Amino acid sequence: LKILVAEDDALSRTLLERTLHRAGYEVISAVNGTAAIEELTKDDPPRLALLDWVMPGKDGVEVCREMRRRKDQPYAYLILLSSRESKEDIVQGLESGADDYLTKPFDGDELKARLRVGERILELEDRLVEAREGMRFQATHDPLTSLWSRGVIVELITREVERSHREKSLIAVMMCDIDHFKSVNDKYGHLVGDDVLREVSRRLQNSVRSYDMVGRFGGEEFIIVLNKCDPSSVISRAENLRNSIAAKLIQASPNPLQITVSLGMALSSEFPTSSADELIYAADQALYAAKAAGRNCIRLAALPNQRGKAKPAEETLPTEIHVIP
Amino acid sequence: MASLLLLSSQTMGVAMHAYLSKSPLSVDEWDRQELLDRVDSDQIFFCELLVMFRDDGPVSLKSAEDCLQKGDLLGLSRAAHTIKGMLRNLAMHRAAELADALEKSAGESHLGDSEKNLAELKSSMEKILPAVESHLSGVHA
Repeated sequence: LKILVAEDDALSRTLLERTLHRAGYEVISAVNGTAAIEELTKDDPPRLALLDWVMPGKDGVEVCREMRRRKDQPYAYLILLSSRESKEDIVQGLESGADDYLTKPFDGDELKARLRVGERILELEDRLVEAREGMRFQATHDPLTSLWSRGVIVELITREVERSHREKSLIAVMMCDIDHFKSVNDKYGHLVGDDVLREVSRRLQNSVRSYDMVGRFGGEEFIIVLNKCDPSSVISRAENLRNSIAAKLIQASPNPLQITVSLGMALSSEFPTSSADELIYAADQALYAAKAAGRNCIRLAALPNQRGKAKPAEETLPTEIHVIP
Repeated sequence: MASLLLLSSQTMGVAMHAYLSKSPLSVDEWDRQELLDRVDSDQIFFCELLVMFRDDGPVSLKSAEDCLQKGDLLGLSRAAHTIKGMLRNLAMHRAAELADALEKSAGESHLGDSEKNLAELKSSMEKILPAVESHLSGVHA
């Protein structure tokens, strides 16, 4: 376990370093408060710290205050070291945000025992954070596919649409539906249907960039958002998504299954003043058009004054789109 | 220093025992056994700390004197705090008490008391430093 020792006096620092090395800690040293804060705010910082109260520049109390103000860091267990022994000093030290207070010269056994207390607190904190993150994931993701849940993806789309208006960038909202999914459930059962949903989700997720978004809209419907698209490649990217499902059989019991998806796509450039809901609606209309056109294909949403007349993507942009007759 | 660290622990132990029994300083002045316990009887490390004190102690004392000369009582209080920490770590109790008194008097801006306390601290350290030096050369020999 890493531990920070912040102490300006070389002799005291050496004594502390040796005691901590012998106790099995990986010791990182700082000679003043400013250097201590630097160490505590780096990537993968020490979670335990022994801070001398009196140091040049920022003292130990100021380091505690600053660390407690910062909410962007994992919790660090801070022990103030001081030769000040009065009740007022101890209270002031703890009020500054220190977790514990140790008077100098330290006793090796007492120091180690107090550090073990710190380790127990940090373990508890880690478990709580892990549990909170688990709950956060459950609250925002679909339990079957681990994609964003419907409420969250709609919220994310709202944010991204506002950003695209602000930045004049292009985003594509796509509604994606598994073709003939009901017959998969009817023929092979719902467990196989779940396998198909998981595999389709995995392929969709793997086919987009880290800053694009995929969510489960409901049943066998997914919603995909491609952010900051290049207008010249948006259709081919949609085609890649379609192809990621159709090109390879899905391994399911008892037989591998040929699964395809239909996609309806709305581009923000076609609906420059539309809200997220209107883009989703437009993409949904385009999806109906793709289904009507024979499935396993993509349709682009028409301009608002032509709503209901979604066009084959290849008619709108010069990219070849695979369409099943 | 390098040659000092090359001495075997056994050699150091013999020299240490001899030194502890014939040191000119009282236990109040320097409780060597307490320091030895603090470093888990690691005689090499014991000497390493003494070398640091021998080198840094006079520098800190000089810094305290400079602060007094400039009338910088806050600086004097800080220098006294550093010396106090060093002395306490090395179990040099009497001198540590004097450094503590100096830290307080300077912190409370009592110039007269600070002059007196610094003089007493200097005198105490002037007694300790030769003992430390003698210990180091005894071990080295």
